[in-house]
Amino acid sequence: MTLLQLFFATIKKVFYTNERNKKFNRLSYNINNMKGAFTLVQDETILIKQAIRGDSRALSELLRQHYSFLYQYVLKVTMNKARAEDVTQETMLKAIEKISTFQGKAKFSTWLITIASRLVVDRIRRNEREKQWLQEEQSLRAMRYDTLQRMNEWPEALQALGELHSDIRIPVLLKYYYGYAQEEISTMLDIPVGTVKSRLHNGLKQLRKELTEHEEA
Amino acid sequence: MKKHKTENGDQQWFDNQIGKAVKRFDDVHEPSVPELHAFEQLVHEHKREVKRKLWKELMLFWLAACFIFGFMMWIVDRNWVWFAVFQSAIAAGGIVFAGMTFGKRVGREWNR
Repeated sequence: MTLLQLFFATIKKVFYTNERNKKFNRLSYNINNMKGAFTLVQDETILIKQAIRGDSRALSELLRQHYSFLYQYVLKVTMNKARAEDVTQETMLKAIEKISTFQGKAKFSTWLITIASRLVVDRIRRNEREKQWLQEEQSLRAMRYDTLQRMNEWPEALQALGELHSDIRIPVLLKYYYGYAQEEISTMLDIPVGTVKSRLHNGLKQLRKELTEHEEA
Repeated sequence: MKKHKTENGDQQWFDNQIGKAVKRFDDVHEPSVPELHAFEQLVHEHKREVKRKLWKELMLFWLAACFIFGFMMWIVDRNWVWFAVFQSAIAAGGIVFAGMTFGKRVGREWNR
């Protein structure tokens, strides 16, 4: 074996060892991540069981863990900060009342957004149509101002989403942003699957139209 | 197959055109989460409120039941025909009320 061959053999060995180490590190990182996620799920399952049995501390911890998620969902659905805070609180109160009926078939977060969505829909039904439109216009303007200050821009995508009626915006967000199936959305909102399909179709059509018009302008 | 393709296309379009902006919107509107004791207080107070309401409703129920029972006993003592008329009217009213309430509450179950 020449000196050159020996040199290449050493380089190859070092390279393979590094690769193997990297793979091993990646594998242990993934295993650790999976372990972390599993522990979280396990923790949540334990908390849910305790909360159903009437443990107030477990229920408080569950609500605290899901507070951000719930608020952000309601904010996107209502596009109104004050209303989002009200609905978030109302949802939590409903969850406290109904926790003993939670069967754990769906995730806790899904259960919360089901309650929140129905509360939002109930509020829309209670308000007069005309008044509702005016309120939505005003709240969207306020949301735009607030977001502009935080993000330094108001993307056309958000304007288009905000202009959708809440009845349509809810299924669109649940399907395309949160990844729920049409059947799940139908159960969550207590409406037929056909209605979900047509709302999704109309919603995307309207979004495409708004964005195309903006691009052309 | 075609439908599946269209659905994937819709999802991809949403992710590219809307999803990113919505994600940024979520990030800038991250709320400050209150401390655990605030949630504990909320849970404790609401549970107490619900229990109080339940007792109040139970008391009202027993009061109404006692009143109706007393009234019916009085009617039985006086006139059998009027007793039958009242019984039928109350039964019919109860059925209608239960039907309406049950019909409304079917879709209001949050027990998934």
